[in-house]
Amino acid sequence: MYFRQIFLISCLSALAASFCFSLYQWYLVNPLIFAAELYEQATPPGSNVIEPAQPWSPGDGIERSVYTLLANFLMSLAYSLLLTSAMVFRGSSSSLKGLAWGMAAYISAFIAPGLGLPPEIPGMDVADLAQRQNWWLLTVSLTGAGLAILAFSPRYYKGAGFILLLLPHLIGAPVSAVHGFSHPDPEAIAMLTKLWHQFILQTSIANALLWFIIGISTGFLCHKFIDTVTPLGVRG
Amino acid sequence: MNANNPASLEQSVPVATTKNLQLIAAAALGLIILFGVGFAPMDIMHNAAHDTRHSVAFPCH
Repeated sequence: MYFRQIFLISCLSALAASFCFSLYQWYLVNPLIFAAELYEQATPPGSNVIEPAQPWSPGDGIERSVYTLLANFLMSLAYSLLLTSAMVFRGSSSSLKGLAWGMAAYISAFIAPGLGLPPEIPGMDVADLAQRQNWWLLTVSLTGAGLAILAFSPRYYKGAGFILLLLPHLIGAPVSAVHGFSHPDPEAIAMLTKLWHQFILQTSIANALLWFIIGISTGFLCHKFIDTVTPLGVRG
Repeated sequence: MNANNPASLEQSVPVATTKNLQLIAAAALGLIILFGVGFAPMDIMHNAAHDTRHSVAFPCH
């Protein structure tokens, strides 16, 4: 019964969060991605390299938007499932507790990995994908564990929480040999850098909004549909 | 004699275990979905979720 409740709560929360996130993304984030893609697709002058066959991708316009909406919902659902499971494991919930969980998750899943690997726009030269994914996973896991230790463990162990928070940054994020943009035109690089800075700001706000809604709504719904019902499903 | 007592006693132990199992199952489902949306290496999956991956700052490309 916990699984069913958690799944339903996560679906409701993900619907609300992905709706608001998608609206924000549509107006303030996607235009930056599309603008950067124009530079990415521009072939350098003088190059006549034959491009390999491209794999399927959604057509621009409505098709691409629908896939993004779907991906936003699934990503919100995954985040909600993880947050709700952790919150229910720790005991009773409330909107306020949910907000605290949501902000801790925002720090773990966005701020901490973003310190080493800032959000990227298309067209950037970046380090090897597998290395970046490994560092991202390591950072998110260690930051989450570190914050959990700081919040829940006895004072004696809290130092370990700080060490876990710092560890991924001491190891260091993978960096590319050529960092930034390799576009041949300096004006394009200036434009891309401007777009990139806007992109970092807008994604930071969009993800804060996402976690704010996931945190508050899962906290509220867990309190309403899990805390007030006894484990055997008998109303107390 | 209360016939319900033995049954409720029997169930009192598994409830905590089954709670944790269900929480693990829910979290595992979350991880699987997260992998599919954010990390699956297939080009098709990547292209479909491209704008989402960029927007939540998953490592991309």
